[in-house]
Amino acid sequence: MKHPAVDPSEPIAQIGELAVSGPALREMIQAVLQTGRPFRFKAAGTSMSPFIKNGDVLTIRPLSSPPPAFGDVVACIHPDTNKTVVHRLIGRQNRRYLVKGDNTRTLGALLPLKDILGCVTKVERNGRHVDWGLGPERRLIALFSRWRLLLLILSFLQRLRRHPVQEQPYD
Amino acid sequence: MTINLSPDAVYVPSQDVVAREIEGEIIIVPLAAGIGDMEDELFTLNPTGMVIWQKLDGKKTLRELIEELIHDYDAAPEEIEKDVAGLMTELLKRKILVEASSG
Repeated sequence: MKHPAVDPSEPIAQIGELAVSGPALREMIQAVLQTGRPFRFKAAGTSMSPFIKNGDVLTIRPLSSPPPAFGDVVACIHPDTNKTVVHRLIGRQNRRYLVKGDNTRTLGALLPLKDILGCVTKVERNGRHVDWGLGPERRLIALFSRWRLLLLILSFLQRLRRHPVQEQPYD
Repeated sequence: MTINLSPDAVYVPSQDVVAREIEGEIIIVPLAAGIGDMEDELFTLNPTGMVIWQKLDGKKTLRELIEELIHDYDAAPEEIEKDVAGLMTELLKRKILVEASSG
C-alpha cells in the first residue's frame, strides 16, 4: 500500500490515489459492500481486455438476489492465488461458479458464491462510460469464452480493424 | 466552519464512512454519494490519530476518552487534550465523526 504526500505530523491526512492490492483491496471492497453500497476502484491488469483495460475505473455493486448470472462480470477471490480478480462468470457446476478472464487462456476457476464479492456494473475509461461487455452481449461473450473461441474472435476483429477490407474499384 | 466540542458528548464514526486497519494503518473511505470510492478522497491517520480512533467505542464521552489517554500515556495532559481536540475537530469538520445521538 502506498500513499504519497502524507504529512506524518498531521493527525489526519488526505491521501490521493491509494494503491492497494491483494488482501488490502479485498478487505476494502468487502467492508464497503457489506454496508450495501457500491465500491469504485481502479482496475489493474489485462485479463479482461478489451472489455476492461488496465486503469479503467470499475463500480462494483454488492450481490443481491438473484445470484450473479451467466455472463456477469464479477469481482471475486481467485481460489489459486487468493487475490481479488475481476472475471466473467461463464458457467455453474453443482453449486460452484466458473469464472474466467476474457483475455486468458486458462480454463477458468470454480469458486463458491461466498468468494464472489460483487458484480461490475460500470466501467469508466478516461472519464467516459464503456459498458460494452456488460449489456446483453455479455452472455454471448461468456459463451464464446466457455467454448474457448473468444480470444480467436477478438484477435480476428482486431486484425480486421487494423487492416480493413478494401473495396475493389470497378474497372 | 466552527466546531464546538462538548466534553460530555460521545463521538462515533459516521455511518457514511468505512474505516479499516490495513497493513498497520487506518484507512478511512467516505461513502460519498453513497459509493465507497477509492478514486475519491481517502484519509489516513498518523500514530496519534490511530490511538484516539481506536478508543472511539461509542460509549466513552470525550472527557473519559481524554482521561483514559492521560492514564495510558506518559505525555503531558495538556498535550494530549490538544491532540485529541485537534483530531476530533478535523474529523467532525470532514463529517467522518458524528455525535452519537445524532449518528
